[in-house]
Amino acid sequence: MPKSAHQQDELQDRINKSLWLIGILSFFFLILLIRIFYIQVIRAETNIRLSKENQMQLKVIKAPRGYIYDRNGVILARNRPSYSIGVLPYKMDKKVDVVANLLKIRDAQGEPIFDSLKLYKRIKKAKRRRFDITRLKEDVSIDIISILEEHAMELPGILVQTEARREYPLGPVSFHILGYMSEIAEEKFDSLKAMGYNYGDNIGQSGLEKQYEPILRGKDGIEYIEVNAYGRSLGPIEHMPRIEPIKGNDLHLTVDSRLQQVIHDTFPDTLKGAVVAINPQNGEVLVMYSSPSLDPNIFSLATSLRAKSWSEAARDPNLPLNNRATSGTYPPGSTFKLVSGLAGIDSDRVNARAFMHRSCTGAYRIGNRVAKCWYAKGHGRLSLRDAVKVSCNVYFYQLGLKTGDNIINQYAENLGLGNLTGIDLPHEKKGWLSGEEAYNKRFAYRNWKWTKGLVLDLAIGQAQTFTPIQMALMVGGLGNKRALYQPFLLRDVTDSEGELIHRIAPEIKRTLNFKEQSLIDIEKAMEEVIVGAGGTGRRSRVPGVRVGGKSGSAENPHGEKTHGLFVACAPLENPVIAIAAVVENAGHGGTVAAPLIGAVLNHFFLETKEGQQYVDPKVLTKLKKKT
Amino acid sequence: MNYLYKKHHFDFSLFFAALLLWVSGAFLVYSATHIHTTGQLAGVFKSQLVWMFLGVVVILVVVSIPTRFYYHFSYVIYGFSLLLLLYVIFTGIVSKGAGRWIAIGGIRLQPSEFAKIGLLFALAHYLSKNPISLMRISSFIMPGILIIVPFLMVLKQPDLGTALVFCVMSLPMFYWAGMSLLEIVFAISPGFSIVLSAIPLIVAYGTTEAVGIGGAIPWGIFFIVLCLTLYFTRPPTFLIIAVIALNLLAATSTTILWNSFLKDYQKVRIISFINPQADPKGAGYQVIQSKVAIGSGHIFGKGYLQGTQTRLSYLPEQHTDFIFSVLGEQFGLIGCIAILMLFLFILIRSLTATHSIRNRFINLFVVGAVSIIGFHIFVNIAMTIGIMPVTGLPLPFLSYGGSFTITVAALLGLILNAKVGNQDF
Repeated sequence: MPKSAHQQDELQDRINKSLWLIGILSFFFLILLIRIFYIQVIRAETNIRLSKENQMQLKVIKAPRGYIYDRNGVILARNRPSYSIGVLPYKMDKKVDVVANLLKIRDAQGEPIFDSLKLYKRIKKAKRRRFDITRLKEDVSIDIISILEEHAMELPGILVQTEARREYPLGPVSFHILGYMSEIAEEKFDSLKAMGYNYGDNIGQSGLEKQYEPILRGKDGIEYIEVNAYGRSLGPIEHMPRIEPIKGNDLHLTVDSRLQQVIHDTFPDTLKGAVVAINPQNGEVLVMYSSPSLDPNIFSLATSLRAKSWSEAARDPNLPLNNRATSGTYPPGSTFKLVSGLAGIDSDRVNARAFMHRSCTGAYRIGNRVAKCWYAKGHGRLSLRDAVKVSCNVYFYQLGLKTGDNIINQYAENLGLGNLTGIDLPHEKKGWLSGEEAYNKRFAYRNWKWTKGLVLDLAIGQAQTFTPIQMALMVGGLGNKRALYQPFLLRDVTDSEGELIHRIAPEIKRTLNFKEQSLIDIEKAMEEVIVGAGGTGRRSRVPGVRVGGKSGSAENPHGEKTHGLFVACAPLENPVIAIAAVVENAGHGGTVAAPLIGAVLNHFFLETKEGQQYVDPKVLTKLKKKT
Repeated sequence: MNYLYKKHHFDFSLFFAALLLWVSGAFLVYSATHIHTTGQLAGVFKSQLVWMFLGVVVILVVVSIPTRFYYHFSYVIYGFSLLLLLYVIFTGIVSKGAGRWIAIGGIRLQPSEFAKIGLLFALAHYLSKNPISLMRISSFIMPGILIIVPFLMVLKQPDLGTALVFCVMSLPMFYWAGMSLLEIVFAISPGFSIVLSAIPLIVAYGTTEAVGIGGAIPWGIFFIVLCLTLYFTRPPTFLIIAVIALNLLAATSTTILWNSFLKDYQKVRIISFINPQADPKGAGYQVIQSKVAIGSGHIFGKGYLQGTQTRLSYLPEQHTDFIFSVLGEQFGLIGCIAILMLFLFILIRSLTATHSIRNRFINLFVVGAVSIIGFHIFVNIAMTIGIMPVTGLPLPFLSYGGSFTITVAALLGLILNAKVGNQDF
């Protein structure tokens, strides 16, 4: 068949093009071949060594967690080294009875460290994850570790791991502020995995450990290590990427651990309650204590011990895990008279210097109801100042009726009551202000309706509930007069080199616009409570410092005795500490709560440098001579 | 030129080479998964046997369909594959998950695989009638649209590896359809500019030290070479201006894109994409383990089922994307060379088939099919030996995977069809 020149050209073109394509293809295959030759022949020795018995392991280098310091640099939380025994099942040798050998190990008291039944179960479970290390025993003493090291040949697959555990040097003194750490729960692990958490990692579970988990945590590193046939590390492998762990950042708190210690020592062990002190000039929390407290170190113990202490704590009817300072809600009792008194005179419904329409005869009648004063004999005619000092109910019943629930609640709200304070701790409670609207809403399901008589309870603080930190904020606001500062625990964040990376600036939560005269009247009344004859707060006196305060006793359905409360601030001219104390079911505030506050205030003003500058120097030298 | 008139026949050597690769693949998949008696990987070997059987059926079906059918239905096949992609994107949006699959009964199909064949037909059909050249920019409009639509749809999934397949498979077809090699180099030069100019940014990321002018050296060399090429080859002026402008634009836009549009996590992704060593826990881990596995195979390998790296499950994805490391570890350099030669045999034999075929459409889809298979082979093996980033492209014939096995079978069937089919239509 004849072929045209055109067909010839086309054929040549096809051959040329396909040859070019074959050439390019072969070039790429040559690259592959050269590279394969390089790893399989030239680098063979290294690769064979790395693959033998699978000696290379990816190891996570745990980042040390940041420390927590108090305002004076005292360590509140740090890390300690701890050893644990683990098993890597695929390294176990069928010829060696590892379990039997492990059971032979005894501690210093001659007790075997493993329980045979539990050990069998645990190893059986571990075998399901053949290539993962499963922990058999945590927090083992160094003596036992050296025994293990000696007998490593008889224990193939058993390895020792070093890890850091959280330690709280001051124990129960600041438990509720710091919180505690524990292993991530199985069901929560999946959501945390994406954030770089590994199986078995610890995470902050409450308090600041939880609140500032991302700051404290740091960033885990990674390295490739060479492991021998017994699973012992031979160190990192050269030329393999290594990512250094980054230590978590340190927290510097506003809290003074000395004051914490004072309150921990003074608070009766058998009683429940809370004490909170803040600096009303900037919102720094100086003291936060909730009783009963716990030693957070128990949560860093080995799992078996930890589980026991955990279930004990969780089942304790006294609820030691609750931070009562921020999540306990209590009726404020007569401490609220400061607020209703201020509301009455500041809104001009009541004249501070005048007497009430009816004098106190020990009871007050409204409609069918007879509302009693705590003093059955009656206080007689009183001005506001005296009414606060002796805490006369009948005076405040009348004040409540004149002022009304709305106005009183406005003042309470302005002073931060019945609202979240925004403290940097998890699980803060809000409390409740009461009042007509709130009452009808809350009890609608019971078909209860607000009546005018209920304003009597509201005026004397038996209707609403607040947290202790709200009460400290309130009395601080009365002392500061101009502003309510947002309370906070974390002041500075520093990195591992101690360099300041973040400082929390004080923040004004609300500005206060009360009349100067009303505030002075309230202030005078508060001082009378402490120093006046018949005042309930003499147990909170501090020599050389003007203290103002108010006691309260809250009736409650849970116990025969009332909750004892006390709020105070000092020095009255320009307070630097505002403090509230609540003691559950313990009696009158003046007898049970005021001494706690007295202890803190006395230590603060007389023992710490920070407080001493506010005390008359003559008083200080006099006191020194005495001791 | 005797072979021009040789009777067309079914190419048994090509068919058997493919069968041999498949059987090797089945052995390797078995080796990679046999320790799993329970769980997800337990049934992998058996289902791969089923897929292989289906693959042979697909080859036979594809071979026996008349070639002119493919020609006439090119755009229909293309359109249908786009519809499948659209469906996946839609269901992906509805279920708020990554949409890559269509589940039919218990079988999951990957439409992006079939889109490769759809694009192959559409491009071959279009280019068989329309020559293409950089001298006439308008000749790129239609092919450009044909490529960009599936490209964007697959990128959305997101599957960058497959999206790149669409681009790379087109280049040899363009070459066949009239572009010169030089023109192809010019056309892809902006891509090189983007990658090379990103080097200083990637090096600088995560460190506080400035990289300095040294970081610009790779791109600088490339740009000088490009300019010299332009100077010596003297293409039309508008082309010179366009190439230089596009390269400069690409190189400068990298910095702007990097600094103002990319979020940190996206940067980290790109870095571990380009440098697996930067992410030794994720993608880098696979590559490091894979290199050790292949390297420890030495010349003769550790023997079948004797691999320590693979046996100990230290290699994730070893039955799919990292099947080559199973081969390298157990059969050594000898095994690797044998498999590479089989691959090369299939590709070269397919390309030489074009000598005896005068039909432009058939030649174009043969070139395209070879490009798809060849690109997968190169990128996958290069990934397992650590000279390319991890992209998730499987290895033809050897990797486990339903949709991909069927796609490769269909491509091979087309090549065989080209050799037996009637060219006159």
